[in-house]
This record gives sequence, C-alpha cells and structure tokens, in this order.
Amino acid sequence: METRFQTGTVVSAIGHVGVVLWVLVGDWLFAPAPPDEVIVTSVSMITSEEFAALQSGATPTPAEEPAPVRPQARPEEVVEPEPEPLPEPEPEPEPEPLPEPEPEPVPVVEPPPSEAVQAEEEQAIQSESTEIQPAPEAEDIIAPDPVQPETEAETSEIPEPAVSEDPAVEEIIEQEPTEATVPEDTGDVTQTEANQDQTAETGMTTSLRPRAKPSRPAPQPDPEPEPEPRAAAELNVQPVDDSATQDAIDALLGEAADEPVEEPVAQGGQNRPQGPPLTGGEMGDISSAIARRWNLGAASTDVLSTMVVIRVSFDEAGRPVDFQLIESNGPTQSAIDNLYSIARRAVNRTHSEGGIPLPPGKFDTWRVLDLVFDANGMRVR
Amino acid sequence: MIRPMRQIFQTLLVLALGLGALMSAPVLAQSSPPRIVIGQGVIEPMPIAIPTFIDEGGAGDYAREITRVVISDLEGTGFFRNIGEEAHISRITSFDGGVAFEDWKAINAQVLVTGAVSVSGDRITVKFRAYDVFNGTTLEGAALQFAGTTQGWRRMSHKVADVIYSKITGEGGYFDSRVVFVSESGPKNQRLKRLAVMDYDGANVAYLTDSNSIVLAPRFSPTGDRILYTSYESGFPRITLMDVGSLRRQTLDEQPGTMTFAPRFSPDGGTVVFSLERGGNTDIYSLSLSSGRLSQLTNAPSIETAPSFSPDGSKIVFESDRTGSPQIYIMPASGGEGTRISGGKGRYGTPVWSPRGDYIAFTKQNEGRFHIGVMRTDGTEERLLTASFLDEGPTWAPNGRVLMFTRETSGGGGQASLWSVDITGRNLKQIPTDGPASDPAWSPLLP
Repeated sequence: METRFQTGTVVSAIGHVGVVLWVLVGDWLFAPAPPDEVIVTSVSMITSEEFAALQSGATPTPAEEPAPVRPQARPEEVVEPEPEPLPEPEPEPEPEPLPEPEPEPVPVVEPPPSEAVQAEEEQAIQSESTEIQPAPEAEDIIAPDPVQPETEAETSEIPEPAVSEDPAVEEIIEQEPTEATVPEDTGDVTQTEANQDQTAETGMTTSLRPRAKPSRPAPQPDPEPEPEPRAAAELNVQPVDDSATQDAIDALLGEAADEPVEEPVAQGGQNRPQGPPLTGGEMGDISSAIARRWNLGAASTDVLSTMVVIRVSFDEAGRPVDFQLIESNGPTQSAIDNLYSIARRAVNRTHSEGGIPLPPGKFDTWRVLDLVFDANGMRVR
Repeated sequence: MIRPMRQIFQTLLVLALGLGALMSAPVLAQSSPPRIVIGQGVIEPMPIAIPTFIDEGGAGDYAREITRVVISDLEGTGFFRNIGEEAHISRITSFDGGVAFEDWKAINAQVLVTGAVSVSGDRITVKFRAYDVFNGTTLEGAALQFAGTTQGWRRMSHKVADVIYSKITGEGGYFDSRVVFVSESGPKNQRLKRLAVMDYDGANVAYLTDSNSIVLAPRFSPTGDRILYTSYESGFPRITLMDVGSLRRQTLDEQPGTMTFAPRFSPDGGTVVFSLERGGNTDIYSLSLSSGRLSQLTNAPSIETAPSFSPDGSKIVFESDRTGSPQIYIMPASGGEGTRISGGKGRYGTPVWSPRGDYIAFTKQNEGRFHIGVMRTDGTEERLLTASFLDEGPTWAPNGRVLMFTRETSGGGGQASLWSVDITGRNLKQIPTDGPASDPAWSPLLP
C-alpha cells in the first residue's frame, strides 16, 4: 500500500514538474523551428502547343533539357517457333437454321410486398376459407353419444402457501460421487420419436448454439475453502487432554466461530483491485469456464434479450461469497431477475465443479469481479 | 549550441511525461473491479431432480402418479432433463426434513423438487418445494400446497408443474389447460368429424358432438367455458356456440343464402368475429353476443377471412387474397382496409395473434411445402418453425411460448394428427390422440 502511495506521489510529481516546465520553457522549447532552406529551382512555363510538340518529339524546347528517362528494362523477346501453318479448314456446310428455342422457365422473382396482383400459385393454401367443402355424405355410422366433458370445477386447487419455503437444511456432508451416480450431461436436446426426422425434414430441431461440452463429472471437490479463523486452526493442531483446557479451547473456538468472516467487499473504493492486473488469458479462462455452465436452456424468450452485470466477491479460496446486480438491461424486470438468478447459478456451479480459474497470487485483483452476462447473442433467430 | 540543447530538453520532457502516463495508466484503469464478459452460454435442457413425492398418508399410487405427470410436463417442454432416481445420492424421506445440497450438486441437479401427498376420503392434498441447488435456496414462491378431490389429481399435478415451470423460466405455465379439436375417423374422402376436448398432453379425451355432421375450426372462449365452431348440421356452414358445461348449442346469425365460418372470440368474450359469404363474396363481420348487433368490418371483392383479435382487442389480424394470393393484414377492430404485414414468398393464412401480443403465428405455403411460422406484428422477424407436406392451423398455448397445429401426411391413406412446437423451432413433437385429429384450439389456463 505504501509503495503504491509512493508511486502515486512520484507520478503526480512528474506530472507537476512537466506542467511547470511547459509553462516556463514551453514557448522556447516548442517554438516552431525555422523552416528548412528552400532549394530554388528555376522553371519555365510552356504553352500547351509546346507541350504537344514535346509529346510528339518534334521540337524540344530549348529552355529546358528534359532529363533522359532511363528506359525500363524490356523483357527479352522470346522468339517462339513459328507454328506450322494449319491447313485451311474447309468451310463447314452452313448449318440449317435451328428452330427458335423456347424460352427456359425463369424463376419469377417475388416482388416486394405491394398491392400488386400476384400470380396465382398452383396449390391453394389450406385455410379456413378453403376448408368449406360440401359435406361428404356420411355413412350410417351410429355415433356414440356425446360424452359429458369433465367438469372443470371438481377440484378447488387453491394454492395454499402453507408450506414453509425454508425447511431445515441438512448439514452438508461432503461425499465423493461415484461415476455410476453421476449422469453424463451430454447437452443433447430431448429427442423424441416425433422429432427424430426433423433435422432432415426441417433442420430446426437442434439448437442453434454449438453443442455444449459435457459437464465435468462431479466435482472432485477442491478442499472446500471454509475460511477458518486462525485461532481455531491453531487450537486444533494442539490437542490437549485436560478437560478444563478443552473447555477453554471450546469457548475460544466458539468465539472464533462467531467472529464475522471477512465481509465481502462493498461498493466504493474498496472494490478497487489492489494487485497486478489480470491478463487477457486469465480473463478468458474465467469467462469460458463460467460460460460452459451458463445454461439458458430453460430461459424465457425475454431473457434472451437481456443483459446483466453482476459484481461477485470472492474469498481467498475462490468461493463466491456475495453477488450484487449492478447493471441490467432487458424487456421486463422478470427477465432481468431471471437472468440474474441464472448468472448466479452459473458462477456457483462453476465453483462447485472444479472451481473458477482465478489466478493464484492475484487475490487482491480478483477478490471483486464484474461479470457481464449478455444473453442477446444467444437469441434464437 | 542552443539548438541541440533545446532538442535534448524537449526529448527529456516528452520522455518524462510519457513515463508518468505509463505508470499512472494501470492505477487509473483499475479504479473499478475488472470487468469480464462471459462468452456464449449454452442452451441445453436443465438437469432437475424430482424424487417420488412422499406418501404422507393414504396416498398410495397417487404420489407416484402425480410425480410422473409433473416430470412428464416439465420434460415435455424440452427445457428440462429429469435425473432418474437411480442416480440420486440423497433420499428424501421427510417433506420438512433437510436437504443436502452437496448431494444434489454432485449429480448436477440444478433444481430439486420435493413433494408430499396425502389422501383422506376423496380429498387429496399435494404440497411441494422447489430448490435452486447451486444457489442453495428455495425458489421464491415455489413452495405451495394444493387441495381438492382425488378425481382432480391430474390437474393438481399440472398446477404443480406450472408453478415450477414459471418460477424457473420466468414465463407463465401452460400445463393446466385443455385443447378442443376435431376427432376424425373414416376414409379420407368421407371423413367423419366430431368435437372433442382433452388435456393439453392428450389425456382425458371427451367428445362434445356426435359425427352426424361435419364440424370445423373450434375455438375456446377467453374463459374456457364456451366453444365456437363451424357446423354443417344444416347443410351449410354455420357458426355454432356451445356451452361446455351443458353442451347446449346455439347457431349464430342464421341469414338465408349465406355461409358463416372461421369464428373467433374477442378478448372480453362479448363479441365474435367471423367470415360471412354472401353472393360469392366473403368479408369479415363482428357480432355482439349481448345485443346481437352485426357489423361488417371489411368490404372488398376478395376473400377476407380467418380474423383474430389482438390481446388488447384493439386490432384484428386476418387473411385476404386481395392482391391475388392470400396474405396477412392487420386492421382496427372497428374495421377498415387493413395493412399488409406478410412480405415473404408464398401464401400466408390462418393468422393467430399471440396471447402475449408479441407474435403472430401463421400457416405458410411455399414451393410445395407447408410451414408453421411466426412473425412480429409488423411483419418482421419471420421464422418458419416447421416444414412438411401439410402443416396448418396454429393455436397458441396460454403462455404464448408453444404452438399446436395440424399435420397431415400425404397420400390416400394420409392422416391428420396434432403436433406442437416451441416458438424457437425446438421441441417439435406429436400429441398422442386415439385416432386422427385436426383443428386444435388451446384453452386459456384453467382457473
């Protein structure tokens, strides 16, 4: 911090000195230099007739000897062997006049929408207006009696918000997942018998996005970075049998646990990164790691026209600890809220599935990051 | 002598200023946190886990069946992929018990739904919670309880799925809705048609008419309690209004020498717009259901048909062949010439305004193929969602996200069936029906 402060002072001093010097000696220093000496060459004017004569090489003007122009090296002439004279082709019999070919069908260019009459096409569109056909004579088929439709009011499913939204959350038990329990996320769009042929038929069933890489099989949890208070850590490595001491340790542990973990950096000056800047490659790694988990497959069409910028605070272990929506742009507040939720999920998921590639040694730089999630590019067209 | 000295000073000053600028640049640039643009995300079904709902007393098979319908609803959208129970690490044994998020993260479940069912007599209670696993929270508003009769268990399942869907996607659900359609039987040249209704997913089919006369183009009222359709009962097409609860029918606007067809309700349900053919000319009319007043909305020698109101009731989109081929026009609800909005190649028909008001769905025929497509209400952003021998007659889901339509196969044995597709063009699928079916019309969400 001190060094940085000195750097600022030096920078400021240099700037001030520069300005003072500029004021004092600027005029002298930056006075326009005297123009270089001009080499004067005398020329003479000629008339257009004289110029034409020059061009034709008739009468060189005596006033000025034109410098001889060095002729460009001419390529050597290649003497090609003279082709043997071909026998004079016999005159072909004059072809009989062919019948005038019929004009080939030219695709008719559809005119822009206008009130101009358009050519009738062969097939009529099946619209309600064309569906009116004379009723076919029905066979004597005894139709079943109409069935009473299900009455709609049989249930009174009035949602009762009687269910508490926050049940107790179980204590988190880290469990090493096995391969058998981890379904492979192929990123495939649901295939049904109905849409199997659609790609060939319409080419529209598949997502317009490149297929996502399969998610990593469950996490190999990085040592879940629970920022442990130093006091607790130190006490843990010195077990003591004495029960009284143990009580004291427990008390200390309790106190330490109650201590607030370092608050996520709030807005304002504290958000300014203090470390060396992230390189383009590092930022690219972070971007692509999160992008792989940024799933918009269950997003509304409004979300696909929305952008949010979220400010994420990380602890030293790289765990996202705080999110703030700092900027947004979208058609509806619901879409913004939805994209904010999806973005947070993407960041949390990236952390859970192997971690966000935050470069070690630059915690002061990435302890707060602004992440831009712009779904506009994802719009399906 | 002065000149070289001055040049040295000049150089030194420029160097000093440059150095200062270089040193201060990072400091200035780092005045706010680094900003990282997250690249292209992915569009793939969201993995969700829905363990079988807990039986909290007397639920028996209901718990399993309700869970199955909820999963079917959500997976059927193409937005979600259910992670089978065999992959679950945790078991949900108590509805109010804790949730080990780490176990669900480990199988990449992004959303977890837990639920419980209890039955007492013919009363059934279904409660559920949905969790955002990676954010470690309950989805706001996704912890509810429904109660009703056991006969309504399927509707309750749809309601549970609707809530989960809307909380995750941010748009309304559409599972607790019904579809009226024309059930077909018999050979192609002698089709017998009758009206039927079903759940949106093809379950619970019930027939509304017999097959003594041809019926076409049914439409639900905005409240879902009435149906308009075109009937040939009199030998000519006539618009008929049916009360769904009592099955009572009433023919509208019986004018001799005319044919009426292509009816549709106004958003407030008080007016019907339709086509009326008189003396070989077809125009669009509106009829007030309360006063019986008939108004002519178009007056042209061409065929104007297939009217559909905008959700706010101020405009009507319709089809007209006034330029020689059928195209789509929009006019004020009070009538008028209309402005053409379709501009691509081919013929356009059966336009339907989205319940959200943002798109118009249509049928398009071009180069021998039929398409279902959508365009903005000014005709821009036209997108064709399907292509086949014959696709026609789109109808919107209540949330304006999904379209259902008729697809007919070619040949003498060709049959009509019902299909649905997301407006992104994804998730095209056939709706299961007992036999051939056509002319679907989606109801609003049920109350």
